[in-house]
Amino acid sequence: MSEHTNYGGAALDLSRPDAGDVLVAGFTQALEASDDPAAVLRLWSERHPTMARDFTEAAAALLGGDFEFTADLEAEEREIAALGRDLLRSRRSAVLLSPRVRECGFERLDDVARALRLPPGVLDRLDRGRISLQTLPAALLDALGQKLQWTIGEVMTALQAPQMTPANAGAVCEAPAGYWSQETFAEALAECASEDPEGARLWADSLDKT
Amino acid sequence: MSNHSSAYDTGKPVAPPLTLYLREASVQAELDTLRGLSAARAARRACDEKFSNEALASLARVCAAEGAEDASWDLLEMLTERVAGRVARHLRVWGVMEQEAREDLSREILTAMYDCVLCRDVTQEFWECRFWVCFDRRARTILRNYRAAEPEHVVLDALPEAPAIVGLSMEDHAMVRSALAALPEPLRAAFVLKHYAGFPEESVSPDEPTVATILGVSGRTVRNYLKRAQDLLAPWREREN
Repeated sequence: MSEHTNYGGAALDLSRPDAGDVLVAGFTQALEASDDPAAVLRLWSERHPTMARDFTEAAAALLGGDFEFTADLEAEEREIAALGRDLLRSRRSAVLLSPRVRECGFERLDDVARALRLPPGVLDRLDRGRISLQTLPAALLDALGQKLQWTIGEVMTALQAPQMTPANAGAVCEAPAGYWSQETFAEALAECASEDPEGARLWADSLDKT
Repeated sequence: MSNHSSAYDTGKPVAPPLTLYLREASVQAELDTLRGLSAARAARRACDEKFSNEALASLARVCAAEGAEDASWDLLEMLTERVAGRVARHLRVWGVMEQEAREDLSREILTAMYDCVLCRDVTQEFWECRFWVCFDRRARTILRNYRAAEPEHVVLDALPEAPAIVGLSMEDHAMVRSALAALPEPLRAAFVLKHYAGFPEESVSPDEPTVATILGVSGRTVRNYLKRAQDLLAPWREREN
């Protein structure tokens, strides 16, 4: 009934959203290997009370044979697959920042950031929706529009589109409060390393003036 | 579990090693067959050769990071086909019968999968190690939140009638399986915690784990769940007797 989970030997940080996934994987493994699944469920639930519900549902699914093939679900499966295809179609057609970057002759988003004298991490976070758009300096929207040959409206549309690499992933996995919340432009600027400290300072100054 | 392989050790690895975890050896072996290929070509081959979900998730992340968006969407489409049946099972287990709710929840579950798989954040790497663990946990969290937002009587009224139980075996394992298959969530979790793991329904001690504390509901709600579970299991018990 070991609780050892060997996925690289890294210490498990319980404040991270993936800690729950790792614990459920370890629990499932212990459950499958045990002759006394009820004792495994009890032990793991007592050791990790905040995960007890996850363990219980995973145990019930395993013991109840939830995922064995049943022919009567085929129509529902087809219906859900069609919904998924529609979702993906709408995402494919969204106007996104990354393809536009290449259309405008830049290889990557980082190259645009350098051209704007902005730390690349800030533009990456902006692309992933991690920065609140209300906190952006107007000068940055202007500069992005010029580099990408877009109007400010088009820049805003792209930044609000469903992201290819979104920032809110994991919002449904019980991450600690604030783990996935958006940050301000100033916070991102302060956190991201820059190869051009003078450029970063100019952007920080532009915030002071607004 | 390994990030290293020599069988196909020619050319640049298509997916870099993970930061925190080690991929399963079988997944790494699949990815190693794609060494030296561009992300987009690797994705096409992985779709054709029906690679594991973990390998498809790895490639979708690589394609997204390298700007091969079309290949990334293709991989997600293949994953969608594979998870659709699983979503249908989850909806059934949680007793979601109404068409509009089924569609909304299916979209929400699929969107969570797309977002998590494509996220560059290191905290979503585990999808490349245990795809179903991550997927099921997101799906259950969404369905649990959906049910938690409804008043108790609505939850209980929305539950389906117990399905007919056929082919009941007298072996313990098969009996447990038949009983659990007849119960939707959250009744099933309450039933498992009380009758299987042996937790008390509630306790005066705040430190003692109980069915109520684990499910985050009152003792009265637990009793209502268990009563409803008994009702749903009545045909099962008759068969057993």
